[in-house]
Amino acid sequence: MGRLYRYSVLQTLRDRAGMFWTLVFPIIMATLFYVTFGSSQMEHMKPIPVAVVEGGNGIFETFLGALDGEMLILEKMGEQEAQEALESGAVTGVFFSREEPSLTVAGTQINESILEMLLNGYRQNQELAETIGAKNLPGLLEAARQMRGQTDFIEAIDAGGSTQDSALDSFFSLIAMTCLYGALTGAASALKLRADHSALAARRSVTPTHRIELIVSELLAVFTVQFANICILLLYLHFGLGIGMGRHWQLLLPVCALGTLCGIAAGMFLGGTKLNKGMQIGIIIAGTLFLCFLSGMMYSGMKGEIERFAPIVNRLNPAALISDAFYSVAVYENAYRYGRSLLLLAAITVILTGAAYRRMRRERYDSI
Amino acid sequence: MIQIRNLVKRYGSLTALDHFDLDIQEGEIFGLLGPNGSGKTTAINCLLALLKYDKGEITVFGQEMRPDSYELKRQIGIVPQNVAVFDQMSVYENIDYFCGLYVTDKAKRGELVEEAIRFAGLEDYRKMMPRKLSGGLLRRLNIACGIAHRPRLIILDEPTVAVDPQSRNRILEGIVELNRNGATVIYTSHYMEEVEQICSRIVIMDHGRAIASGTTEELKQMIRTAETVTVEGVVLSETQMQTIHELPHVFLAELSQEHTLSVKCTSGRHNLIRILNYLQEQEIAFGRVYAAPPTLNDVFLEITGKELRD
Repeated sequence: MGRLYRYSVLQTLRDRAGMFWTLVFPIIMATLFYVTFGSSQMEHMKPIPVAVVEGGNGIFETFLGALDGEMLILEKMGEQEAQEALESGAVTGVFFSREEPSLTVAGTQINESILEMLLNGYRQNQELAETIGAKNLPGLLEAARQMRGQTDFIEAIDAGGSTQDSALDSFFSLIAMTCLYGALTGAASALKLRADHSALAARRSVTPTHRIELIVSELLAVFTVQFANICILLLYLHFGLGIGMGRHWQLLLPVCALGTLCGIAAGMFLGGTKLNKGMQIGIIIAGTLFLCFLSGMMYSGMKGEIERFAPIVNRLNPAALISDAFYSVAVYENAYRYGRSLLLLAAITVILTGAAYRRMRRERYDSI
Repeated sequence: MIQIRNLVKRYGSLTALDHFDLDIQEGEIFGLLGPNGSGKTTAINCLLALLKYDKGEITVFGQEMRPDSYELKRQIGIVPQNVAVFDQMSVYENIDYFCGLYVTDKAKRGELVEEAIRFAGLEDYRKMMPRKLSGGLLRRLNIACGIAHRPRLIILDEPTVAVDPQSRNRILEGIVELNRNGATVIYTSHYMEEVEQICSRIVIMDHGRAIASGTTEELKQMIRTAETVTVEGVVLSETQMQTIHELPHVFLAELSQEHTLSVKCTSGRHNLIRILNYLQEQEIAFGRVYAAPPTLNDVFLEITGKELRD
């Protein structure tokens, strides 16, 4: 088994076309993205202009005041004036500082979503503070300290699955693309496993080596190489291009591993069909690019749009799941979204691997 | 050693093997001879349990051959019709890889790989990648990968297709040597000269059926032709052709558009002299003249009514 694995790794590494698509091409793309976006879009977001209609809630006004200049541009207005400013687009939203603070926005773009998140965050923390204050006054100080930390949190998050940083959308989708390009090596492996596809596979099929041993060694080998390629890409993105991977970067590895396996299994499944090799490669490249387009590789707002109108697509698109898991770790630090993406990705991978195995395990054929 | 009984394989409405029977004894070089599409490779693939078949029984070394007959497979070496090696691995690595699918002991495998390299004459190419090898060398590598584990039964499916004469001779000599060393060989080909040269017994196949089997001599005795006399550069009238046809032992006389007379005779005695005497009497000019015993092509021609290479 070990020997078969080593030889399979060697073959995969020496496959120049395969290595180009799974290692060199993503690095070129990443470099092009970096050059295209430059560093301007990777800087912090611009402050959002908002109107505040005073209504006697001093705590809320103090809270907003703490964000003034850094994240928001506050302007105190009367209700009528604020409404006109909102309609003219001079401000993105209007905060009403009543006992129950509220927000009026005119659109559903990213900035509006951020303001909404900001208000929701305040409400949650207010409830928390009241509860803690009633039972434990010193704890209130800690709660206040956490509220001050909102700035960092809000800077990175939005409700629709995208951030203001369109470059990150592209980079994370690029990582997803590289994972899914494992399908190319998967399809090449299928060619070496199905006796009705190549003389080489037929030759291997008539040896005394158990079929499962051949399949597993092949799968492990292509997985190893592809996963190593992803790691190299991540290192290049982080150390070469300065793309942040977050404090919990270790959590990205299971995402890459599952994404890679998902791609390889899809490739093996496709490779097991009667389609010719050129057609298979065409489908893999076009299909992967389409999935990555849907996950925001070419147009950063795409994932957010899909989230609004057909969220199920984002749950079933492996590229979207991979990039979303990356966001959850590198940007949001949102364990729930990370877990959800990982679980869905695992489910898709298990289904594809099972389907691929069913295609590969056959030992006797109707025609060769 | 190998028994195939009543084997039927259909691809839709096409019957690739039609109640095909085969018996191969240990120590033979057994030839499967037939034109392209006659069912040779299909028979081999059924024998190796790669292809499903509709009917029949196949036993190898006295046991039923199935996809999971790993112990039987351990004793078989296969050299497929198309070169089946890894493009990304060197000559040595390819042979080591395939040998390793049969032999797990590293030291023993090392010896076997070296032996196979010497046998195939690939000593100078061991680090070379397959894409840099000539067609002949590639075929030799294909063979080395199939025989490195010293199998008891070697199946060679048209191993000399698209090979230069020098490499072809080397391959044929090698097959005879393998047989001398104890291996039983099944050799499929549509080159009758090769089969005639190395095979101890032959089955002639056509349309998925075994139409004749036996040694070369036995096969030749099955047909009427005992000798074929050929006269080149001759011009004959219909009357003269009729007279030649009526000479003793002659059962077929044909004149081609290239003025080549071909006369088939049922006995191999004095046919050439009789024909030459007649041409001399009639003062008919002619070019090269020769007589030849029947070939396997004659056998095929007489049984099926068509040339082996049609």
